[in-house]
Amino acid sequence: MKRKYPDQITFIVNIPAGVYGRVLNFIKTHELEETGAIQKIISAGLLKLEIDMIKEENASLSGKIGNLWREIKRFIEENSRLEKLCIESQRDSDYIYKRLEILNSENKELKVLVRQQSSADQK
Amino acid sequence: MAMSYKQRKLSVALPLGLYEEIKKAPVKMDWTEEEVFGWVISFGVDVIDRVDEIEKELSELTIRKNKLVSELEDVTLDYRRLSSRNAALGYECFETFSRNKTLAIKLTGAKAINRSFKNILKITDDRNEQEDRTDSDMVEKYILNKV
Repeated sequence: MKRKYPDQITFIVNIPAGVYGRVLNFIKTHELEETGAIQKIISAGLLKLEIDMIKEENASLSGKIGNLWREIKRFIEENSRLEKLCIESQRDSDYIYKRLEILNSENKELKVLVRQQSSADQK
Repeated sequence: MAMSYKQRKLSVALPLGLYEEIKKAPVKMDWTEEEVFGWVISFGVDVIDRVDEIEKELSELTIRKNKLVSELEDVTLDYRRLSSRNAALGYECFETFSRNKTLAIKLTGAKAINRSFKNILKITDDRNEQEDRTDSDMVEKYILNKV
């Protein structure tokens, strides 16, 4: 690799013989100056590379989006199930709490009666 | 990339800017610099006669990529929101379940005391069957974890 001009770099690349022949043919048929022609070919190749990279990135992005959608669907179903479970548990909680209040209050009265009966029995 | 077939050496002179642009590619695509130059030239020869078409395709793909990036951001936000909601609901259910377990134990105790007092006082327990069944369900559900 060498630098003929400060803003230009020259190097040797190994390419398949078929491609080499096509490069020469392109230069010949388009009657272009060799350096400019190769630069045009490289710029076009970079575009193609960029397209391939973006295609890969897009495929990867689509894959990530698809996976997230699947997870979102799962969360929606699970959250719906959990919401029902929470409502049901809260309803049970209210029921048991109410029952406990009634029983505790009744037990308080019964306790007094038991004490009264116990004192009466002792007498 | 395998290049075992017949090779020719091509002398290339490039502006530094273009050279640097090509050098970025191997990092992105996991190729050696030599392979990238080879491929860029091979690709270039393939598409040199339809650069306009390729530029149009690139532009469309870039638009598609931007839409996908934006969609990914939106979907990620939805995912995070639902994931947080899921964690919150899971915690809420666990908390209510634990509280109900404690309450159900207290209910069992209160019922036993109630029966005991009524026995002492020889009071006939006028039991409500529906209530009894529901109480049993609560005990099975929260203490015995049968439901």
